[in-house]
Amino acid sequence: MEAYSLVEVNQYIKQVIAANFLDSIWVQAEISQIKESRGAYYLELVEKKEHSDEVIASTGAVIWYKSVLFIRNKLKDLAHQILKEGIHIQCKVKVEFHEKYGLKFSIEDIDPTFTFGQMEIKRQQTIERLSKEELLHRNQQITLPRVFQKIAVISSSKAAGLEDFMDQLHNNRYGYAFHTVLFESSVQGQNLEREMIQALDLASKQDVDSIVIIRGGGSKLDLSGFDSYLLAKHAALCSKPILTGIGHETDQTIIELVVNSPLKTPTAVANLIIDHNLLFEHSVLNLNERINGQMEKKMIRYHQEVMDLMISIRHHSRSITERNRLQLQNKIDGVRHKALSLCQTWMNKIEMRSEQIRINDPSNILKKGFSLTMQQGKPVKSIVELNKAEPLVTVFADGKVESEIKMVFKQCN
Amino acid sequence: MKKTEKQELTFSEAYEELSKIALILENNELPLESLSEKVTRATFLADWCKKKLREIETHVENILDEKTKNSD
Repeated sequence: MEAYSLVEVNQYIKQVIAANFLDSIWVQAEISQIKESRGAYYLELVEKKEHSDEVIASTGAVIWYKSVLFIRNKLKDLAHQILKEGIHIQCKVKVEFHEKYGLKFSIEDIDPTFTFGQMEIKRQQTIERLSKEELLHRNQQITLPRVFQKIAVISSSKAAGLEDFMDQLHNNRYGYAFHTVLFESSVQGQNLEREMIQALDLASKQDVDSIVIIRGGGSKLDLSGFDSYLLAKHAALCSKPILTGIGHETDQTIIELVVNSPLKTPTAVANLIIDHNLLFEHSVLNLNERINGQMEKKMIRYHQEVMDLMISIRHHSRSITERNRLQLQNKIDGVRHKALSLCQTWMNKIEMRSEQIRINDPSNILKKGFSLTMQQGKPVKSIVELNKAEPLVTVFADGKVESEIKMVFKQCN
Repeated sequence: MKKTEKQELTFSEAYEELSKIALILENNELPLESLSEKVTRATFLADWCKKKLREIETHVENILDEKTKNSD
């Protein structure tokens, strides 16, 4: 039985492959793993079954330092976006077989248009899905708070944009105070989706009036994490209005399509928040002014009305009391007059009686020189009544005289 | 039964008594012995009545003055 050494076999395979892959070919595959080592990239290329994670083909690939330089020079900043796990690439490879290392694709060139086309297709699919699920405008329907006060900030504490945002927000020239709580999350890389969803869920349960997502500005790093369907769904269904300052110049990311207020930079978010509060303050001041104006007008009118009423009441009450006082005075005068005239009448009667008594008081008559003649203790008014046998008593003012009757002369008229 | 001021003499009683004395004097029906007493009594009654009337007058004035003041 003939047997070959491994080297012989591998050399044979090498010859077969070299004969069949004379020229480099263009291959479409997904990067499932990628790592950099001493200037070269080592990748695992895979192909998955459609709509599934099941790998149906896989091959190791390498980008040698020379090619890395070429690709970086060609793709510039885009290189970062393409050379990462999960990205579909179309690359020019030299299929090689090495006796010791086995089959290896040596990547010489990358066509970015394919990747972006793929990304765009995926992006459009995501947008369509979000639209179908009515998630695109969900967060936009939440009205912004009248005043921003408590703000949950989702960002990485290492992000430069976070500092810009905080500085712009807290050092605003109107002196508005804000309460901010930071929820840590990666703003790039593989962990972005998971961490940001977690941060969103946490932040939305807090007593905050809005959530702000801030990405470090400046460097144009990878934004594709923000195109995640799951993240967009969480953002859309978030109970708080979300503002983003992701900091980019190219197309909007998916998350920015669903959030309440997408802004270009962290500074712009801070400015929007401050302007929003300023607008509120203006409206309050304006209302206050209007209320004051109306109040003043009303107060003047009420004051005048009250004054008029007071004058009228005073006038009427005075005339009423005056009338009553006059009536009462008349009554009193009447009573006084009657009472006094009654007293006077009686006084007159008493005076009359006193006068009568004075006149008829015999002692007064006696003082005038008249005298009273009495017999047997009774005054004698006529000679007819006389008893000649009895003595007469003559009463004077100052004494009595008793005398005998000698003769009685009767006066003849 | 002569009443004095203290024995709750009323004005009409006083006046009646005064009138009676006046009538008696006018008719000269009085024994001379009681004359002085009657006149004294009459004088007392007249003075008492006058005093009473003056009191009433003053009282009336005072009360009505007060009323006038209070109604202001």
